[in-house]
Amino acid sequence: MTQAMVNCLIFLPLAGALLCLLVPRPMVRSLAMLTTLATLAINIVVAQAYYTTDRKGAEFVTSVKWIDALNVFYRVGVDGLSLPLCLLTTGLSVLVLLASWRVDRAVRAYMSLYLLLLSTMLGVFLSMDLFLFYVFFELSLVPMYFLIGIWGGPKRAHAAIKFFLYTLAGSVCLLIVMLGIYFTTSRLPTGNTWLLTDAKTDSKEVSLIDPQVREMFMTRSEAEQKKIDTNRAAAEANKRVFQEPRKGMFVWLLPWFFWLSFVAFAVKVPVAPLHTWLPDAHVEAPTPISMVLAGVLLKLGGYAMMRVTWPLFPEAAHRFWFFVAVLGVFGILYGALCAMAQTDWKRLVAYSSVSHMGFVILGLAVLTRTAFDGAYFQMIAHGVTSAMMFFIVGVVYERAHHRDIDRLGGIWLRFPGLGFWSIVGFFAAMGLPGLCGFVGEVMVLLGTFAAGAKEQVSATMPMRAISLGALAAVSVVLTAGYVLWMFQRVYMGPEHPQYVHFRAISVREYVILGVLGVMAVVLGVAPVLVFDATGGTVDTLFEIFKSTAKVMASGGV
Amino acid sequence: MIFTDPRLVLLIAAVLPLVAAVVLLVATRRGLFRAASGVSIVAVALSWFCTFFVTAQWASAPSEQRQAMAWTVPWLPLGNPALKTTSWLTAGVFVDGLTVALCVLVTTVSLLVHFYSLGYMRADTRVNRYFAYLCLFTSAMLGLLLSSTLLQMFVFWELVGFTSYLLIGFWFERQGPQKACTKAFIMNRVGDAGFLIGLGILFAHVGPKLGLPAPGGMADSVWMYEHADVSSAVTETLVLAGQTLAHAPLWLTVAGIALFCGAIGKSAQFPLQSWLPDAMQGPTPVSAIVHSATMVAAGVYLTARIYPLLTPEAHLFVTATGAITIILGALMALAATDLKRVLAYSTLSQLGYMMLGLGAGAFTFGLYHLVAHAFVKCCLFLCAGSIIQSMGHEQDIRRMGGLLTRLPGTAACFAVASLVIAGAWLPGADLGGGAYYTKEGVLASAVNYGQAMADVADWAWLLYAGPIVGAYLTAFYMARCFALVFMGPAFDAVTQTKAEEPGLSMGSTQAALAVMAVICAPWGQHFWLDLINQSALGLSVQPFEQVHMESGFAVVHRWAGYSWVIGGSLGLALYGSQFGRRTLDRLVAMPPMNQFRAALNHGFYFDALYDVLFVGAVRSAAMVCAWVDRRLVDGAVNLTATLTHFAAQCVGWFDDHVVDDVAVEGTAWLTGRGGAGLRLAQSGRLRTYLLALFFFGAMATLAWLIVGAMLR
Repeated sequence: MTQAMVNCLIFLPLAGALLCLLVPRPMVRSLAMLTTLATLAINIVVAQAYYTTDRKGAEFVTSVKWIDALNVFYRVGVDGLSLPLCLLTTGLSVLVLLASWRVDRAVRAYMSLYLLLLSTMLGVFLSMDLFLFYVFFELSLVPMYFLIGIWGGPKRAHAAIKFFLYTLAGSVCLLIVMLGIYFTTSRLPTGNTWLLTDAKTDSKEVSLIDPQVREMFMTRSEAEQKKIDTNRAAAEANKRVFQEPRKGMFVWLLPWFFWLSFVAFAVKVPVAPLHTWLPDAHVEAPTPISMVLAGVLLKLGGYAMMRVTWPLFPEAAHRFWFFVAVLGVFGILYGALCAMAQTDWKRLVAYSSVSHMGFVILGLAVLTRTAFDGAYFQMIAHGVTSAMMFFIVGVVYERAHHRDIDRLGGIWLRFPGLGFWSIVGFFAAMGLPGLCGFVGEVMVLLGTFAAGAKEQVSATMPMRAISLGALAAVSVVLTAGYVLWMFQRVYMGPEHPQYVHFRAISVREYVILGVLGVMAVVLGVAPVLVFDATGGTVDTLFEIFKSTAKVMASGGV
Repeated sequence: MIFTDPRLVLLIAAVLPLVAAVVLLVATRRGLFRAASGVSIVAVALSWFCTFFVTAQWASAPSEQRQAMAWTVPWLPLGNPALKTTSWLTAGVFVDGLTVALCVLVTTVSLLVHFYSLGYMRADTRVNRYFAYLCLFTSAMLGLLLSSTLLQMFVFWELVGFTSYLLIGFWFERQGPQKACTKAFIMNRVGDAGFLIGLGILFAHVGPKLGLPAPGGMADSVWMYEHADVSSAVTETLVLAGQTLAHAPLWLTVAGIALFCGAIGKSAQFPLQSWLPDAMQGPTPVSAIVHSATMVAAGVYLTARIYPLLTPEAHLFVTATGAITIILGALMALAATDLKRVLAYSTLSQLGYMMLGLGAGAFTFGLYHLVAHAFVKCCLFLCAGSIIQSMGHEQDIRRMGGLLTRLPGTAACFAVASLVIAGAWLPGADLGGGAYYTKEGVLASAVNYGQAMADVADWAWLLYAGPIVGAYLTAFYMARCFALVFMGPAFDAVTQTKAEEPGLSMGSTQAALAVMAVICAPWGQHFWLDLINQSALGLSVQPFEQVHMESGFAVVHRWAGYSWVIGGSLGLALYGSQFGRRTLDRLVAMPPMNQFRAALNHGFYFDALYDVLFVGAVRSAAMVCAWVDRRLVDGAVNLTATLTHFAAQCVGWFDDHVVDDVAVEGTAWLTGRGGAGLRLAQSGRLRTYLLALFFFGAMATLAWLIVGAMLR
């Protein structure tokens, strides 16, 4: 039953998308709303069902052979990494639909594409098969392309093409990795080329991240492995083992795979300097689409790294942690500085996303439990705050018809209610404790420092980790700088005379702001809500990381 | 009894104002003055009653029952929350003597300020928001005091900073408050970055030892006190590594100093002092509670809580910071002309004394100075508020004067508070105001500390000489302020005749605070010291009786005992009379003095320096980054696109002109032309055919003959 519901999460919005094309025009909005609400309801039921399990791995898995020749399965299921993001997606989708209520150009197409987008995003989070994952990952581009390209601002065509091509270019890297995986693992006995988790299914499937499979994946053959081991035993006497590390057949490929898949997802996150599609896309996208783009679509990148890159290539992740962490810290600081210089309000918020997602990369890179949890939480928190910030920008833009920060001012006096919720939204993004942004940031920071204290990876790690942590800590000043400076220019000061004619904030808008604001507070006060779901799955991941670290510490790979 | 458990009662005390704040923000509209003030005053009064109840209970309990106790719940898991073995970062309520003392201090001041605001904010239209913010602040401040871990303290630390931001920027229509609140928050965040780094280093080194096991029975178990937990974990780590606090590893010193950076920001110590004077842009009652009595003292509270972690090097750092701030603040207070800024500079100077005390080992006196200073400075600010309001929002003390007859009650309160803060005492009776006891204690420990450090550093005598000079300066600037405001001729007779004593709520509040400022020390001494000492014992810090301070006291008494008489009378003499003022004006107009004065007036140019060094640098960096992003990074992307486009155009051209035009069309053309040529041959005339036949036959024969001849 729950298994069917998990499938429903993908196919219900898809069905809604098709139905939207058929029903009479006045009913389209209600139909779309009904679909998103139903999806949310199903998701909540699935979440409740998941909580009754032991929450260790993927549950409610449907596994059907899809393309026989390539060992591709249609495999969907729920685990700790996917569930909170699914809830974020379905929850946000209702609010985004509310925010799109006043779209009046080609409503039918808009709603249809929007539901299609929802379906593909949930598909990404739910697929437990790398091939299927790739399919959904690519498919999600298409509705987004049209949503930006048709309903966007003046330069929408350019922004949409840039978004599409940039992300597609990244995906090519993933395709290469997939080809590599296909050709290196085709001799696995069970033939499960693409399985992503150790899912509980009827058949005796083993996943790519299963340690035994990894062993086969990385080494030539058992006989040869034994030979190497014997050689090693002999060599250990004269300590040559450290000069001649163990080499499997495809071990030399792993760094390449790691970096290729990293780049593929880094475009989506986005990791500076691969981020420039983001400000353009956000500035041109209509408000609700910006909310989805920042709230969910960026998370596809971070999620994919946690789901694919890190578990499949943990050796490389250990080896290159410092480079990745530097990219993360660079993104944090660079995004914050770029945000500070913007005069377009929406661009400022877009760059703040670059900065905040840098914490996700940093948290992943340092490979400590606290930082990893923090990185995951940061994704959820950023989903809430960025959607809220983009919506606030949209609310003002709809009335003022411009987004120039220097020409705004005094919004707080005209709209005290909006001012209140803006404080919640922007200060949550800034990392004010008690609101959601703080938890992710502080956990990543603590975890980064903790990476300096554990001695398992390399001797140079402590000083490096502490420097990175200190730099990331300093970024809180920059973040406060651009948020408060913006707040001062937009909200404070005397009321402008033209504001008198501005429409009051409607109930619909207050509902969106209120729900997001309350979520920001709830997540900030009770972060354990997220970790309750993720805990077991992250445990499994860390077993892989730890065993890899052990192997590496003993001179292997 | 669960209902009399101090942890629960104090938790209720902290939650009540929060509830009131939420009610006010959600349910009230502009202009509902009575409802707004009523809700918040009732909440704070109840909160005050809770803290008072706990204090009474605490003070009457036998000493062995006054154990530090905590009530914690798991907050952040360091692993899978479902597992029993997972450690947690906890949050909770921690109560010991110091907490009790400061909680009752905060609610008392808050309640009085609320009463005062009834009069002061009567004309304001956004008064519901004002009272909501005040309640929010009270709640966050109590949360900070009750925090059981450093991380939780950081949470509330930021929240009080946030409410301070809201309150400084309360009149956000105006330029001044806008800039001041942004500046205050950002400068605090600079310190907070240090706080975070300190937390990170501590977490890295003793983190695993900080976690508590998952909760079993939460109700009655008195869990380990996490502040003590940090110190015991540190000690344990050190013992394992074969080290002691006296010869601690570098990381502990760095962590201590980094954590103290948070205190530097919050308590406006050197070099992050310049936000505090600007914060005076907020409403005056706010300055009284947030920016003098309680929030800025949170830095001192933090330093007290991390006291066991501070290594000797960190202690020196704290002491030096305090000593520098004392002198800087006192000097700037000498030259300030804005009434509230004089008091703000005085505040940061006094905070310096507290830091000096904590650094030099006078744990008890440093904190006692916090309590004494809170009442005094709150009283002074409230008097300042009354003066400013009665003068029609004039804040410049040079434009006041002669208010003694117009505002006798306020003048009396101001004079009493000034005397107390200057450290006045009755010779012979050994009876004095709060600062007499506390400042002498702080100075005595500074003398001892400085003398002990003399072997290590040549300049260690400055650590006590500076603060002793500071004591004279304190008396002098308070006297100057009093003289300029209340004595001499009126600057503007018209305004002055309109000046009136404040109404009941404001007048009675400042009078009450003046009384408290006086009785806080001589009669409340044992009460406060007991409470603070109890926490000191809990932290295994030596209380003051056990330190050999007699020699220090002797030195201080000799050198600074009469500072309040000397400094005060000098100030009154110079500024109280026309002759004195004129002489002084002539004096400061002379070359070296006028430059010094200009430097003082500009706060030693710290703002200008930071504007260039940090604000300017960061803004330029931001512009550069944005340029790089636009031109180079995005430029590269767009260039790739352009190049691809160009390549596509080239290929397109090639396809169009070479592949299509030359190859395909060429073939077609050739075929066409060829056909056309051949068509000539298909004329249908017999004669032509015969001619051709003959011609080609002849040619073939000829060729055959030639080829045959050549082959032969």
